[in-house]
Amino acid sequence: MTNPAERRKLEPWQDPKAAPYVRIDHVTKKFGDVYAVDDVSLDIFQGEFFSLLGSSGCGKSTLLRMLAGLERPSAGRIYIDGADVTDIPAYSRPVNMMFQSYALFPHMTVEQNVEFGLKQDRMPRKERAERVGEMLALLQISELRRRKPDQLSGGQRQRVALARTLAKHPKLLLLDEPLGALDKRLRESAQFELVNLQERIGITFVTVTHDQEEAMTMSTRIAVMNAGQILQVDTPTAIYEYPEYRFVADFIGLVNLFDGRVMETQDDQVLIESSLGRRLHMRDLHPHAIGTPVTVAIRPEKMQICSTYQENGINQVKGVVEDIAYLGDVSIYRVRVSPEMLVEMTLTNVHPRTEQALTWGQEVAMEWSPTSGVVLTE
Amino acid sequence: MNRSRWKLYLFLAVGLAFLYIPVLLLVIYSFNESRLVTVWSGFSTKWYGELLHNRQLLDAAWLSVRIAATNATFAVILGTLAANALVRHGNFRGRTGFQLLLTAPLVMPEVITGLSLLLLFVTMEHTVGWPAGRGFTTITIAHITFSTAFVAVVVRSRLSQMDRSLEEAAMDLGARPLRVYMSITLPLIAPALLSGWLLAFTLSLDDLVISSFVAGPGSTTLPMVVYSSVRMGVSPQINALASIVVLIVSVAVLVAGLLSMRQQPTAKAN
Repeated sequence: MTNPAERRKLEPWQDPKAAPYVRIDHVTKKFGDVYAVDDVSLDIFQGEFFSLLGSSGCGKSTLLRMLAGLERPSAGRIYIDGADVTDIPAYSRPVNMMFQSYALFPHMTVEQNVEFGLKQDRMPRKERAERVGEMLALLQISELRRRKPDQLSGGQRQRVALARTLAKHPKLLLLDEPLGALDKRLRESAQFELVNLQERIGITFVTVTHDQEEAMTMSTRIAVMNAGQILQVDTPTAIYEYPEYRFVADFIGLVNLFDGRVMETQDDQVLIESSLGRRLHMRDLHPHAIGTPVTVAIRPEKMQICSTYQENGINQVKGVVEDIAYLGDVSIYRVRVSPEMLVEMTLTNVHPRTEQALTWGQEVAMEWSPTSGVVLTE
Repeated sequence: MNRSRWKLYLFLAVGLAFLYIPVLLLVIYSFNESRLVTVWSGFSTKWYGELLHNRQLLDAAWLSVRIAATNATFAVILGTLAANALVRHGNFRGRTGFQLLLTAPLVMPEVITGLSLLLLFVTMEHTVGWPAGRGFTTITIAHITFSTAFVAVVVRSRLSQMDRSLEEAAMDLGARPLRVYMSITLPLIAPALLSGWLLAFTLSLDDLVISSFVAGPGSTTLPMVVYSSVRMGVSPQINALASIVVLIVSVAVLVAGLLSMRQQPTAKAN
């Protein structure tokens, strides 16, 4: 284990004394009568790769545009590196943004696109040329310098857009769905490249995405947004393993949700009478009072085939395999446990598909351990 | 399938013939030797030669070109400003009214436009003393009033197709609004500005009705000369002149078409 001081450096949000690099303070944005962003407060620290995750229309892009200065908050303040930038227009902020469409200027070459921001700063010609060369080399697009944007592939355009936003050495880089316009294969390699780049240049990144996998792979922390509000801010692991809301559990990955009521509690152990008609034994980090209606969330890969099934067994459930989704490395089995409930279980395909033990229509018993899920109330 | 294709070509030929045979006849007869416009008596270019010595016609042509160019330039400036207001400034108070007033000249009968402008100019001359008399200035102003509407329509459609994030990106990279407009917006809508200019130029060049109302003595435009000389009996010189105009217009349209075709791919790219 790393010592606490080192850990604090890696995870500044754990350190109560660390000063946030970006502070969003009770920011609200209304369009007419609609709240796009509703009283959001958020601290982002230097060197983070921070993701705003949510479905379309949840307000994540509006929040990003407010950081860039392209949208003015209806209420609240925004601080970057300690300075209040709420009233500073986009062209004077030490922040650059990469647009979802990349927004490359079609009438300029790659070189001129990258140079554009430097020209606005009246940087001398010689320095400008040097910086452009550096950026093109950094993103390995030097040989494209004389091309126009319509002569580039999607991946090349993304690199040009990145070079252009990085050229001014911004304190903060904002990325709106940075990989959204790429096809799946390219996206995966671009994810790793983006993270490597961020670690190399050490700039704070804030990205917006609706793709949970992308957010999980790249981010130091994720803020999950819904209906203009931030539900949970945490590391990818914590978001996945310890969601605090049903919405978060459901939005990230697959999850089985069992409704129930607290029967007994002892320390952090809790016994729940579930709607399945059986008792569930879970560890509950935020103990709830007896009688509280709760939801137990269990990820499909935490489900195991049970060899010691009992009719009233705790954390056990039995059903019939209804659907199998074969994904190559794993298969997802959808098991009908009651007329109105399907339970999903993921198993690694250790053996070739044809030799799998489970098949359609087969009866299967499943179980899970008390520490492999969370108990939620909202 | 071959048969139906053959038929389609026939329809195309008939359609084109209907539209262009009169023009073609005009060009052919401009090389007619005879003084009578309708009787062919042999090939000659003498009418082109005589045209060069016809001061009245040449003066009128030069006046028309000057009016058309001035008109087109002002119409592009005003029309672009109007299009900007409509596309870029959201739902400002009176937007619908502005839009209606802007497009009204497109459908207004020319006689009414001409008459109302004449009344305006006369009243203004009496009360403020400007414009003194009627001529180049009044005709140009009259042409600008309706050309602006056409330019606004052309520029507006181009502007509304433009990706907003291009301008936002420029601003994000440190360009102030005026700079964004000059280095991003203007180059991208330039094809629309050019075709708007050409449209305004041609509209002005062939306007007869409105010009007749607001023209004064000594400021006869080309269409007015042609029209009055036709009533006196057509001289083959008019054919020669018309042929030259057809040639100039064809070249202009061709150039505008080529330019907008070359701009097409970049207009869609992001």
